Amino acid sequence: MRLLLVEDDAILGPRLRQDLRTAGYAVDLVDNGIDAQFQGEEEAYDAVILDLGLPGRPGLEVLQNWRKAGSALPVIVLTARDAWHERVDGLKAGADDYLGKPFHQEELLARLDALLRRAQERSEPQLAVAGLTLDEERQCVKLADGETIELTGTEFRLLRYMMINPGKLLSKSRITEHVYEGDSDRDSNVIEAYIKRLRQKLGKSLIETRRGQGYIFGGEA
Amino acid sequence: MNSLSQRLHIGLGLSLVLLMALIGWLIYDQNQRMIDDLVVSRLEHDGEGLLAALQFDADGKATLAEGSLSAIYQQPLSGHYFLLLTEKGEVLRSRSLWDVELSGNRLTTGEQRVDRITGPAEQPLILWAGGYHKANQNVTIMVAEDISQLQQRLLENAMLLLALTVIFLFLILFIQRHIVRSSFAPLRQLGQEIEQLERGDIDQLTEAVPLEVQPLVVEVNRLLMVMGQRLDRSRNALGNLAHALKGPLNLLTQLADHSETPETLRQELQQHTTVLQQQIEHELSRARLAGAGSAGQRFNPAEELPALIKVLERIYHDKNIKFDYHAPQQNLNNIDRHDLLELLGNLLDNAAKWTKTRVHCSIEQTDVIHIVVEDDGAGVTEEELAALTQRGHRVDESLPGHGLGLAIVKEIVELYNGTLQFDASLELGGLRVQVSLSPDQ
Repeated sequence: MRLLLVEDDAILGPRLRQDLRTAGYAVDLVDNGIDAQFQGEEEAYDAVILDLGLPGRPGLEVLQNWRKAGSALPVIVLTARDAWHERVDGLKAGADDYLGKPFHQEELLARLDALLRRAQERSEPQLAVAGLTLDEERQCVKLADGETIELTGTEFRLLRYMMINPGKLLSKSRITEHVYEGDSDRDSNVIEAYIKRLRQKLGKSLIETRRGQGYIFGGEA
Repeated sequence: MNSLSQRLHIGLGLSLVLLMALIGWLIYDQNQRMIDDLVVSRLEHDGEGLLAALQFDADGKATLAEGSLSAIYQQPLSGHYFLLLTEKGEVLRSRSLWDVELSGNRLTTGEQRVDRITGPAEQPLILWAGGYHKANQNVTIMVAEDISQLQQRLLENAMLLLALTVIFLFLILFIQRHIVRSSFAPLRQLGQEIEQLERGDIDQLTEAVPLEVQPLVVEVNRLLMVMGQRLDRSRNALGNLAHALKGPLNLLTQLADHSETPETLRQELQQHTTVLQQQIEHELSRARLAGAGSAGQRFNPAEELPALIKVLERIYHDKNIKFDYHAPQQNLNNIDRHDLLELLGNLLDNAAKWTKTRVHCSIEQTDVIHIVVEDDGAGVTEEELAALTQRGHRVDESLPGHGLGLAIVKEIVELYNGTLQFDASLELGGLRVQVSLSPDQ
């Protein structure tokens, strides 16, 4: 899943990006309000982590602009301004969650997970589709027979995205958008290669290829 | 009571009564004089007629010429009387007088007198008397007339005048009441606007008011603006300070969390950053408080409570708490939105922290604002309750886990002259916190 991280602190931003990557997300980092608004409008993110005290344009204004444009992008606001009235105002401006600084990394990850599950309308804590159970914490997958298979970072992101959207036709470009960061090499052949590796690990029948259109995970729903 | 309209009524009423009394007395007095003059001139006339009719025969005996007297003097007690006294002691009196004396005084020639006397049958009379010289004799002629009827008429006129005066007085006061009421209408509107101001429906008073109160209104508006700006500025500055302090603190927290940091250092870092964070949080929250009578935004329960509950649901996303509330639809009077959100946020956060499934919140506004927050958690023991309720007790030290939130709650309650009570919730079984705020005191 691909996140937009908007944080102007030169130390905290990259560190947070690293933590989020480790947790299995593709992360684009932006350090000002104007770029943030543009990225949020143009790119297909699954969620945004938004600092409010931004140079260029205040975070709350960026958020309001997204909402005015009709975007339902899940947004966690991350800010030092965490008086109760600021949290309420943040929520009214369209934030889905509000986390005050300083925060613990686990807290952010837990809230992010809860937010994504809400956005995908999943209630069960673990992702389980077509006999597979994804362990998001350890980034591995359990087969129906109980065998646990380790996954690389990209494999994990790809499999998670497909498991979230079972039975849907997923084009290569859509998969690329949600699995890779904005500045990475987006050669669609790479996706093909990863699909191939997932099939080797999990069995051929799980992912069906629609030539010229894309892939369907777990058979048609 | 110091009422401008009452003062105006009393002032106008008194001056009108004085003025009308003066005019009434003048009219009465003038009428009286006019009647007297009229009667006297008529009596004088009759007196001169009597003098002309007076004859002396060869013996010097006085008689009145026949037919020269008006019939009115012949009827007994008719109210018209005369009496003639000659030098030789003869007395000629009208038949109407029977044998009553009018006055025994003789006048010298040329002398004239007017008197008020009481005549026969207690009639009030005006008596005119003149001294004359005729046929070598000094004669005193007295003519009198009953004025009781005239006086009665005069009195009736005076009463009529008085009645009219009283009616006019009430009419004028009635009209003035309307004038005063309509002149004070802008003031009443101002009063309504001040109520709206307290509820936060408006943030400035209308300056289109009468000249006399305009400077006051302009000054109030200026103060409101200055206070509002000052509050905004200080809250902004505090926000910036929070941002500036918490950035580095956040990095320290992350460092303390980081697996690469040695365990001993991690623990120490965590300890220090926690203390730092609590101190910063507490002092910033305190500094942000506006207090009663501030110029900030007002709190609308129907708008703010659902948002606040949503914030809490996000924080406690893994607990699935059922929040319900009961609150008025309109703005709460005279209480700052930020302050009340801080209060409710902390109380509800605390309840959410300790509850199992349910948190209930109710807000009521009468003379005071009454807030109840209860949960279905384990509650607190009797000892803890006692410690919490104790006056001047530092809440944060007494109850680990109930944290700094209650300390700031206490500060807010004090700012609004309120009370804070803890006991067991009858309905839900957990802790019940009752707050009442009196922002108007």
